[in-house]
Order: sequence, then C-alpha cells, then structure tokens
Amino acid sequence: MTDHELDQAYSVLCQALTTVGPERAPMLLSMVCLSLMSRLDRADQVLPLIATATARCRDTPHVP
Amino acid sequence: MTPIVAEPANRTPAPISNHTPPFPNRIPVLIVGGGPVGLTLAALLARYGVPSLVAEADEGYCTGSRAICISRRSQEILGWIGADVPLVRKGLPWVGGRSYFRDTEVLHFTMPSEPGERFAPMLNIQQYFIEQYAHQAALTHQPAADIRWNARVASVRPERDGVEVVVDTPTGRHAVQADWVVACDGGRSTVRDQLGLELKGTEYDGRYVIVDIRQPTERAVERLAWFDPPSNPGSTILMHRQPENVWRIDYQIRADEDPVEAVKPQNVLPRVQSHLSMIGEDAPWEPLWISMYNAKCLTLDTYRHGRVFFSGDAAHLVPIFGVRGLNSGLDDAGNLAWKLARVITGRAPEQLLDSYTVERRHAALENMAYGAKSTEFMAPPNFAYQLMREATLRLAANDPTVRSLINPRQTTPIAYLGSPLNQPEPKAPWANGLAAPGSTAPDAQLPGGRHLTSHFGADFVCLAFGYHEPRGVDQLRSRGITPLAISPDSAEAWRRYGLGHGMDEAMVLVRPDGYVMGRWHGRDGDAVAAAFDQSGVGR
Repeated sequence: MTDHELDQAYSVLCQALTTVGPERAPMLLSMVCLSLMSRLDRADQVLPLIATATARCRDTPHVP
Repeated sequence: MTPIVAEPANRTPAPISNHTPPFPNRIPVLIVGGGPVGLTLAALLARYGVPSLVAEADEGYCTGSRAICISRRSQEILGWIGADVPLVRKGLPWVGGRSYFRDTEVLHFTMPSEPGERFAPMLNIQQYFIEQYAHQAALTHQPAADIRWNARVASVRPERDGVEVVVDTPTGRHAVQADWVVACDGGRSTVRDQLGLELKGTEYDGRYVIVDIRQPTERAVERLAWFDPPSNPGSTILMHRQPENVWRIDYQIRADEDPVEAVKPQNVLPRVQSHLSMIGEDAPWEPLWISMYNAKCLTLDTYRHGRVFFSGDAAHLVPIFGVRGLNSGLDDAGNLAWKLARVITGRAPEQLLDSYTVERRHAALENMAYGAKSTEFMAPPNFAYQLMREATLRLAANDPTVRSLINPRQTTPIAYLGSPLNQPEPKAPWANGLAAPGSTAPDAQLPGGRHLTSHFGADFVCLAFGYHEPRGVDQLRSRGITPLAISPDSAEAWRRYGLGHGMDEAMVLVRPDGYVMGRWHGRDGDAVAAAFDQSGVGR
C-alpha cells in the first residue's frame, strides 16, 4: 500500500468511526481488525503487532 | 484578530512619497488590497507594461504574524518580479522537519531537495518583508504601479465595459473608472461584500493560538511539531524560526477554553515559557504578537464576475496547516497577470480570462482537500480523528509504516488537470508525466549553471530539445514565443521532460506562468505555432 493509499484508508476509517459513534467504535475497530488478521497468511505476522500495540497502549497514558 | 503585545521592532514602514500625484479618474486595472498578492500582481502587470492602481486600506505593510512559509514555487513567482534576491537574502531556507509525541521523535521528514537547486523547498520570512519586496518591484518598471495607502474602497459598481469604484482617501472621496478590478483584499473582502458574494464551505472548531516571540537561537531551521508535549499536556505545538531571531509558535487550545481568555498574555506566556524550557531554549525572550486562528475551507463559486476578479484570500480561505494560503494566492496572481495583460494589450481574446477560474478554483479545491487532511490531524474534529491520531502517534515511534500519516502534507504546485488551455497529448508516449500539459514545467540546471525556471515568468517559451535548430522558429518568434534550445548536454532536463537518453527530440510550450501548455515529439515549430493559434491564448 502506498503512503497515499494508507492516508485515504485512514480517512475512510475515521469517517466510519464518526458514523457509528464512540459507543460502537470499539466494535467497528474490532471487526476491521479481525477482517485484516484473517487475510494474513500466518499468525506470526499478526502476533508481534498485537504485542507492540498492547505495550504501546500501556506505556503511554491516554490523552483525554 | 489581535491583541498586539509589542510592535515588531524592525518592521519597515511603507515608504511615504513626498509627492503624491492626483488620484486618477481612469485606470486599466484597479487592484483592491495592497497585501502580498495585490502588490505582486501590480509588479507583474507593471512588468507587462500594464498600468495599475493599488488601493490599500491600511497605512502600510501588514503587522504581526501572518504567512511565514514561502514555497519553492512562490519563490519562483517572486523571482519573475525580481523580488527573489532580497527574499532569499533575508529568509531562512529549510528542507524538512521533525514531529514528537510527548518527548519521543516519531517523524523526521524531508522535502525533495538537491545540491545546486535554484530555491530551497521552503523559506521562512515575515509577510511584511514580502510586501516590501513586492512593493519595490512594482515601482521598478514603467509605468510603475500607482500604490495608494490609506485608500479604502467604499463602493464597487460593475458596469458593462468596466467598474466604477469609489475610494475614500485622506484627501477625500474619489470615483475611479477601472476597466478591470482585481480583489486582493483578503478574507474579509470589501469587494466580495459589495458584489453580494459569499464564500462557501467548512469551518473547523479546533482553535490555535499564534504567538511570535523574539529569542536568539542556534537551532536548525525546520518545521517542529509536538503532540501532547510534557510542557503542555494534551496540546499540539508548532514552531518555526523566522529571520531576526523570531520564533513563530502555534499551539492548540482545549475545546473548553474561552478564546478571549486564551489570547491574554497572562495565559499565553507561561505556556510558551514552559515549552521553551522543555526544549532547552533558555535565552531571554520577549513576546511580539498574539492572535487566534481556526481552520477554514471556503471558496467562491467563480473567481471572475464580469470585469471583477478575486485572488488570494478574497477568493478562497484554506487551512493554515500545509502553508497553502499565501502560496496559493501568489499562484493566483501569477495565473491572472499574463492573461489580463494579453487581453488588455489586444494580444488575446477576452475568453482567455475564463480559464483563470477553471484553473485556480481547481487548485483551491485541491488545496482544500490537502488542507482538510492536515487539519484533521493537527486539530482533530471529533473523537474518531482524535483516536486514530493517538493510535498513529503511539505506533510511529517503533513502526515506520505509519509515519507518513504524521507528515504535514506541505504545499506542492497543483496541476491544472482539465484546463481548456492544455493541448492534446501525442499518441507516442513519454518516459514520464512530469512535464504533461497542465503541470508546472520542471526545473533543471543547464550547462553554465543557469536554471530552466529562470527563463519563465515573462512570455511563452518553447523548449526545443534536440540536436539541430528546430523548424519554424520564425513562426514562434512572430507570436512572441521565445525558443530555447536544450541540447543533449542538459541530461537532467531531458530526463525530467520525459525524453529517453539521447534519442528523442521534442518541443515543449511553457506558458508565462511556468505551466506546460503542450508538448510534441520532433522539432516542428510550425506545429507548435498552429496549436498556439488554435488555443485561445493569442490572436
């Protein structure tokens, strides 16, 4: 995916989140994430990404 | 907008003439607004021998912190009027920047740049210097532009063959018959109001405080951005160096902050001090300017209304992020000047002027699309953009694949896709599309050191890539097109214009504003002249 395509997909996801609202945002993100995971060839492609995201969620406080 | 904390000490006031000639009753072009766009347009018209009158409501150059980042393209445009020399001497060039999430660097970007290039990708300078240089340029040609300060437009009345404009000045009220009026009078355009026109589009809620301070520093000139810095948790801060030891600092205020309170020095200065301390800028400093800003994507439906044109902020307001405001305004002036000059001097039919809206409104819409993207990252409009931005910033320190999302999307020249002036492409292909019709003609250094773009900005130029003198040179010259031979020694130019190494010959017609109008394989100047005659740019 090019930088430009990533940028476009990012905006589409932001718009989708806006549409469903904050309460359903975790559900939307989980569904998109699951769709992406299921399209990868092997689990070892996704497990490090989950580990990194988990660590980065924990080691930096959330901005309100 | 603006409580001024202190007047910029070194600002040059507009020169006051000892001898002010009588206010003219008639003028070919009346430019309303003597900001950087209006003064540049006046200088461009003067260079084409077209007299203009500039009516500026203020007493002199602007004060405070306005446009500061001048793109490479804008430096080229200012080069057409000779203002590039003082601009480059005074300004601070830069090629990239850094973004931080809290105290960790998450992006280091650079813009395309190489040794020997004519201008840096970006140059920082206070707007009042640009106005000063454009003003001086407007006075160096004959007939020099007639620039009137303290001249406030009271009414604008379009007529069939011109426009009657009433101007209030210190010597009284004057009525001027102008053949053409160009409104360069900014976001709160009087001309726009007089014609009953409104900008349409979107405004964003996120507010930024703009602060200029004077503080000596040895730091590299870069675009610096901090997201959620320890100095101001939750905020976003931008910093740019300007000449004369001035820092421009932009920071976002919280949604629940009162904008009136937010610009009071007692609320601004501690935040600035906190951040300066965090980044280790410990020299004594003084505030120069404080104001407030929110992003807007607004435009008129058309930039030509009979004999009245709109340029710069009077025509469109784009977000500050990505620095497309003044830079797009200068391109408006560059686009309109040659067309207006050709029509006024009888060298082109009036219909040529309609292409101004087609091209520049397309550019404004492109600029707004990019500017909206930048704004959505810099001032997230709702929880979704905030959440995704935070995810990006958290990942970016370790994951380079997401870093491009943080890139500020700085302004680049907009191609005039679909312009009626673009000539059809030949069937035979080119090695690349860099010089396709509607694109800005690429620059390249020629043998001897001169840059290709330094030949643009006056009249049409036909680049003749080849080994021999092209045919039909007389046909080109008789139309005011200057042929410019590009020998195979200029390998860089051949490559950038999509020509295979040492094989092809080609003709590329470049407009006076440095945009490619058409390109043809071979070396047949007669074909170029024929296309020129059909295109509506000549008669």
